[in-house]
Amino acid sequence: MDDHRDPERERRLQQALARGRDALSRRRERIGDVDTLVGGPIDRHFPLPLDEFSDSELDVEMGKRASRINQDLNLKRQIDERTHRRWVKVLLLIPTLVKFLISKPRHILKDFSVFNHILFLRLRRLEKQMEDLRTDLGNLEVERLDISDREER
Amino acid sequence: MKTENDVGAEITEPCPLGRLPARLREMRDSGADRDTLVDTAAGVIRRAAFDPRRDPAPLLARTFRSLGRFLGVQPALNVIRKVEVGLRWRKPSLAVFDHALHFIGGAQKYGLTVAAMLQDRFDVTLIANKPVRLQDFSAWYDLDLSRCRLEIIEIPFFEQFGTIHLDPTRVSNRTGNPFHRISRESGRYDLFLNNSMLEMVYPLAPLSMMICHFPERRPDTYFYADLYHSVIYNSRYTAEWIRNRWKFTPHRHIYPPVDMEVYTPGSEKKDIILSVARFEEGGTKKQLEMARCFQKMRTMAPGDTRSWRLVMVGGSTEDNPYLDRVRDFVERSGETGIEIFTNIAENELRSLYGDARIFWHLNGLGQNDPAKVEHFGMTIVESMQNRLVPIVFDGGGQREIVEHARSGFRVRSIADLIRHSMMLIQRPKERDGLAENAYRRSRDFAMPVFRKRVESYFAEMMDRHFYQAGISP
Repeated sequence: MDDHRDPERERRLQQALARGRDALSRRRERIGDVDTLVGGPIDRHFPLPLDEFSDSELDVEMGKRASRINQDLNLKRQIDERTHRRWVKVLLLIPTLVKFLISKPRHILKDFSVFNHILFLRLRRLEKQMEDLRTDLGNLEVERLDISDREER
Repeated sequence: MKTENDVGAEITEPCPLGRLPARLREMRDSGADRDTLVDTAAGVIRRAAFDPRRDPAPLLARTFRSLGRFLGVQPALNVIRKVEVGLRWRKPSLAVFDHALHFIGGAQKYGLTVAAMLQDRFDVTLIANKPVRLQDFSAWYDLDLSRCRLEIIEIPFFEQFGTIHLDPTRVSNRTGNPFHRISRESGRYDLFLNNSMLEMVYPLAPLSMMICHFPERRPDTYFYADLYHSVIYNSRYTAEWIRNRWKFTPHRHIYPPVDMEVYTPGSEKKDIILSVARFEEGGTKKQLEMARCFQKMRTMAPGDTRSWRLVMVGGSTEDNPYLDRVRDFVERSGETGIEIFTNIAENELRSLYGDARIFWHLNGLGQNDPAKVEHFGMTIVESMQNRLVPIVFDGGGQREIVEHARSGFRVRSIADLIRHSMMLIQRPKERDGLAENAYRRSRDFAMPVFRKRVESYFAEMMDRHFYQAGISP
């Protein structure tokens, strides 16, 4: 490609590119969200493989869900408590109530379900740990008896 | 998931500039992804630039407008960036982003060392989220970043929490993604390097790379790590967890650089067992266990251990209950051979590395959370560079550094730690041999090795994504 380099033509090309870059950059500044910038949706849904989570990951997830449930159940917090005029309060309450009655129950149920799943997993793991400890304890007891037998002999 | 070879379609037959939009449409219809379309467009423009039969300049304005509509504004801009850099009309720009740049840390040192190494080839901008100065980096890491620019982009969402750490776990699909400020910024550079392993930054640059020090979170709504052109990992342990948590195979393994060689062979060492690890409030670095272990050794073999000391060094916050527990234990035990130093100066640390003979590191012992096991273990390598014999927990990245019974020991219990330590104390000849092997092993992680890998990998990626993209036969 370099065989055909013509400095004058290259200069014109560089200018054309610079103009293109400036025009697109100006458009870019006007665009607010990343989806529009890249020309398509960017967020995806990922499954939550709770069975693969470590205990500490489960704890973090459980905390997150509990906090969301609290947030969803706390209707009062969603109204600005500094608002004193009753009619403003009523107006503010309408969208909140609509949200509370329609979308919140779905969120709450979903979070509760994950929360319970985590509780169940943690319980099963603790049971397994307890079982292992019982086995270890049993083995130690046998070893202790063996040692006392040998000492008696 | 992108692979390293996703560098766009190769133009097998010449496509005139005027036919580019139609060609891209055909390619999209047959399933080509956005990167392939960008590379193809850049390749066609580059070819047209040197076609002696026709001057492409008058056609370009229309082409860019149509690319903007068809590909989206950012991909169209990336086409222009690829042409400009691909034809070497300007120096490429590189942004290195780290949301924890205002803290001293091993991961931050890694990213800034890369920036320092690349600052002559790229126009480098360091992007931080909290106030910090270039001079701070020089003081903290002894790095020359004089040709880099620093930009602070604050993320207002985190101000409400009043914490100095920007905690990504506070972000959910209910809060929106506050890191999209950085996503947008990434599109202003030719190469965007995310050193934060912060998977919530959507990469918009024509070439995007991430350095992953450990995949801390699972994929959620704002997960984009798999959209980076390359993910560099610091150890095989990290790679295993990227596969496990993020469900893809990262691309290039580059161990962190370690540069702590102060000991001159032949100079006198002292009977010191050294531990260098932060006093974490959760006690994950196991200083308490080490103190107990040392006390036990003194009781078991008072004669052999009389001249020995255990020196525990590490960073700590002012009010640290774990550090208090360790200090309490030492005080109550009446053990005079244990010394604790916190937040000491670099020259003091270097002097300790020069003096000590044995190194203990138990991070990961009794731990079932993989994130809390050492992902690599820079201080272990630092000790080996100064001919200390390391005895480390057998897990995480530590397995990749210490070859058991050759350049140190890997242990799974306190009993093992005592056994191997006693052996090293009682048999100086064997200890010296192991120390020499440890030193040899440490060279694999030295700065020249890191520099070579970084420079060659970035050159390879630039070649693939800019200089050759879309034009290879």
